[in-house]
Amino acid sequence: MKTILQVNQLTGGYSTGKPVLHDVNFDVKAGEMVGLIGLNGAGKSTTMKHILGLMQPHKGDVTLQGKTLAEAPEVYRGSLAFVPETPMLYEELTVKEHLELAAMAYGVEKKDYEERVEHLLTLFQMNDKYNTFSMHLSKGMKQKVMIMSAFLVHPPLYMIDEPFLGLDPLGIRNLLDFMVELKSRGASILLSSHILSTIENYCDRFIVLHHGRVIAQGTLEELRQQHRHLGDASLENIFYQLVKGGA
Amino acid sequence: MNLQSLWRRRKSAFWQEVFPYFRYVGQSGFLLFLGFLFIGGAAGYVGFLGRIPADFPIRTVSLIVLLPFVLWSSFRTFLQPADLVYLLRVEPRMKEYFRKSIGYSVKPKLILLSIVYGILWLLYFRADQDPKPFLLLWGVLLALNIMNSYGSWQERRMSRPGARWSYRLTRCLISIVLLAVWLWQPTWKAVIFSLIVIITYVVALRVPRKHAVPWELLIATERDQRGRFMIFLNWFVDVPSIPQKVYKRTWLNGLGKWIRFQQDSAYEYLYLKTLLRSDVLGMVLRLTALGMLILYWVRSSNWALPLYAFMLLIIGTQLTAIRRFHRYSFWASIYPIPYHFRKKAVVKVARRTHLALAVFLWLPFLLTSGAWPMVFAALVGGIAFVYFFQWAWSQKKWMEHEDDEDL
Repeated sequence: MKTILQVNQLTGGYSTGKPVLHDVNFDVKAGEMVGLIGLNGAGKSTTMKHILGLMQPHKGDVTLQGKTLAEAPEVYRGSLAFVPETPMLYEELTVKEHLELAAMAYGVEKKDYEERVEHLLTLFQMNDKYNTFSMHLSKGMKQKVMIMSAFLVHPPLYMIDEPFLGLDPLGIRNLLDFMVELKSRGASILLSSHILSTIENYCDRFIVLHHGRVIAQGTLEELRQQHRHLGDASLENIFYQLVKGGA
Repeated sequence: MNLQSLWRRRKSAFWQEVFPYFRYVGQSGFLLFLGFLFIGGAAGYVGFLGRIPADFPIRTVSLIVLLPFVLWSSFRTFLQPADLVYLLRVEPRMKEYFRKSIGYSVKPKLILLSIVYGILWLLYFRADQDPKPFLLLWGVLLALNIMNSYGSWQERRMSRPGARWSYRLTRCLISIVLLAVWLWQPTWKAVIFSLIVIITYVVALRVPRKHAVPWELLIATERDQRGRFMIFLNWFVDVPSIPQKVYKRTWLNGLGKWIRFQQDSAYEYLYLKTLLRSDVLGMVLRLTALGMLILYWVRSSNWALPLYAFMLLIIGTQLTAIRRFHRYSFWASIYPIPYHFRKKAVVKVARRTHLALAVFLWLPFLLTSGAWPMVFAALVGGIAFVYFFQWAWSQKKWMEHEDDEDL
């Protein structure tokens, strides 16, 4: 399977003297959904910022489709769509305008846009909000706009930070189903979430970050192998054992 | 996606938003005040031109007057938090956007620098023994400001905060030295020295690692600049939202300790802590420092007392902004504390701060020789002024009821 994202010996953070991440190593392959899990402050958001190129590594590098941001900014930026933890929208734009803007920024053809938007609006039950200004949306709806903006553009990699916050149960279910559909079409997803019971059944692999280091990674089965004494433990139990041991 | 037109749309949206407020700036008498200041200043300046003392330190004065305008190199980018999601894809093309932004930000500074230089020139060519040609020095000043803008933009792109700060400091030092060299040294020496320094500086700017677009920093800076603009407008009229910048100022943390740990003091605690970390405190402290400096100079003249009162008035007016903190706070309507306690707390915090600053402002009077009764009368007068000001303010109608619009 082709590697889409490669995080290589990444040490990073805002200040050189106090790195938040230490030698972080992992990859995401085409058609894979990978869960990035860890306690608050473990370094998940910092890892995502490094992948987004908002921070520069002190050591190591991040490549998307084999290229770093500096080597091929167009390829890099075009390969990635991002859903932030907190919705970030323009108050002066409607839902429709946000979606159009995302499509324009990523160079989506008008015809493709129209097809995709129709599907997404129905899926996330946002048809009647299409012309609503973002400031009049509830938090969950704002989150849906963020998700739809990312899903419109069909990049090779989706990076999604805590996507379930504020979503109603139906929204969560539809989001998960849609991610499975994207995966089956070959897209890769890097997902960070605290709702371990939910992502347990959806992610192909997990990366456990603790104090800025990767303390375990692999499929659920591989993680179970490392903690045999727990038997057929859930992801949550394994995670608890891991961070308790590493704390 | 046309990034240049996006920039233009954002610029005009910003001006459309703030333009209506300028009516209130005009009505407030501020422009009239500026006009009087200008006429008075011009008259004094022209008078001074006729009787410049022989030993007038024109080069030092020119350095002090010109330096802030040479260094001034902020940028308005009109970036918004959502750009992190929607514009990240077009990052490789963002140069188009920032070209507009840089032009828009640099031009007014060059014009202002030119005006200040034009006014100063009248004094400079009379007072200096060996003045530089007008056009030459003008060109040098513009070049120095452009160098500062270029350096400042490159600093923003640097990924390490340490590098940003050290380059910023270096830029300030270089500007002081270059300006001084042009004022004090012969032209040929100044040309050679400037070329060596500027070329070295520009080469050195290439060393640190940089972001193509420092998104997070630019978004935060834009928010602060917008906030400062809104605070300025807020002196004249109620603006709907003032994004507050928080300054940690940990050295002032001890000041909250004297507030008693009891329900009645909750708002006082909240407002004091907020004030200590707000822009407003920075502003009144700067005004106090400026006032102390001026009062030190004029402490023995007839101007001292009116100036003392004037500074207290300005500081008091600034402090009234405290009432806007937490205006729409949800918690304030939840706390089991009577509503009017809030106004009392605001006035108390403002009054105490005002009193403390009145004492600081008065300190230069202690350096006058003799006339001790007058010196202490000034302090008593200052304190009385503060009490009267705060009492008059507390009598005005604001924060009367929970559903008040507070205008």
